[in-house]
Amino acid sequence: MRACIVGAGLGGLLAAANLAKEGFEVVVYEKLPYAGGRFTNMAYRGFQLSTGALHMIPHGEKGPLGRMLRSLSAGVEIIPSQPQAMFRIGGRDYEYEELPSIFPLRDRLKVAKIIAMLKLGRGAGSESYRSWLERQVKNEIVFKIADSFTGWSLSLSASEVPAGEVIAQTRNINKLGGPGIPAGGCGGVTQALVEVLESEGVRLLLKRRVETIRRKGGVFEVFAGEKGSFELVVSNAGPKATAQLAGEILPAEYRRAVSRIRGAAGIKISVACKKPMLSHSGVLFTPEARRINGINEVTNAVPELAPHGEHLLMSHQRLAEGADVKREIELGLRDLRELFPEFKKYCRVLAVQVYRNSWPVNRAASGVHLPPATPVEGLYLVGDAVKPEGWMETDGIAAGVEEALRHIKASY
Amino acid sequence: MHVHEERCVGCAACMPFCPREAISVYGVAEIDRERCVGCGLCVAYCPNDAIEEG
Repeated sequence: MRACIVGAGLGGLLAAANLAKEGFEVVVYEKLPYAGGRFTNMAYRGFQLSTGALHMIPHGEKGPLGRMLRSLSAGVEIIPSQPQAMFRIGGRDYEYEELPSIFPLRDRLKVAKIIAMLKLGRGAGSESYRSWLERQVKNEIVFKIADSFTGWSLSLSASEVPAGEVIAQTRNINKLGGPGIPAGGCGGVTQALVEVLESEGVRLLLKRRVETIRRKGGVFEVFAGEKGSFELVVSNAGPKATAQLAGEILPAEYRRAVSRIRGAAGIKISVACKKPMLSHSGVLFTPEARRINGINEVTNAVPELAPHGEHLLMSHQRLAEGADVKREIELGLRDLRELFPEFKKYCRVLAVQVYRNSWPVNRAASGVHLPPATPVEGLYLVGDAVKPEGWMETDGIAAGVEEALRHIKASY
Repeated sequence: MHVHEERCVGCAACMPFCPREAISVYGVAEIDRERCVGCGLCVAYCPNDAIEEG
């Protein structure tokens, strides 16, 4: 059985490695000169920046990605963040469990109840997380905390995410724990996966753009400089690009539905610091900032991501649809200067990276549940548009790949 | 090199690969023509086909 993987992003690499272990003969086509897509490193002035994702895996070694990397014998150490997260409110940093204590008595019990409801996973229909919260308590800080969490993890506001999605995510955090930082950053994971592909005899072809996917006599014909025939095609190119490549082999109705999928956009600012700005390797949520939703300083767990003695800080902010990008960047930079009074003295901005349109944070916003199987037998989707409910970021990608593999194993 | 502003998302994936540090990105990529030697690496590294030779 021959399998073709379109795109060597995280989803494509995971799918390729798993299928090779299952005995498929696997070819991966990647249009760019590097593997990893939005999940790899780029070296800049001695720092390991990333092409997309922050150097962080939402559930560390215990989540779907950590588990899958172990099952593939990809040698990546994932260092748990300690503490998982802090929340900066009124100039002080609080742990999640401490949050009720910051509220006046009349709201304290309500906030404690929200935390309990999130833990038990109860009480959400299809309403947004924001309107679900509004039914429990009327408190601006609560809404700001919610926005900082969904902005950081999903690049959406609390009113853009279904409450059920956040509750399912919280359940997973309670069960599996919070984030971890891979040794070597995103690129460490990509490199380990590329090594698995090499040892499994997978052909990973870079600078090879897929032009069309056709179906002929029960097999797929994929044109990518060369013509290849495959029983199985797994596309990591995103649903829209895949619909274009596959054209009429996909029903018009499916192509129309796919063309309407909304993604999520964001801005990441990478900062070089002469001394640490945070005292931990977890996420610092910043609910009261103008734009920034959260920050991490990955060098507190993996010092090798910066030159000796220096530190790498990364902030993330949601980018609302139609917003003025330059103004949003300006507000993000202003946030950084205000959050860290010593910013001017010890820090300099290395890169401002915007993720939108054809290179977004997510090709489908969380809460959109696109199944990996398409209407065409043997054509599957993986990547950040195919995340099962409750799984965010890279763990969502791995969980989507797991689901695709279950389908494939049942049919081949 | 020419940046197509409508296709450039400002992801800065081109920036670190420029051997002349001729690219700055602030919402959109800008190439300093004085520094650029026309090697074309940015064209290959752009995920969005937003940079063209010339």
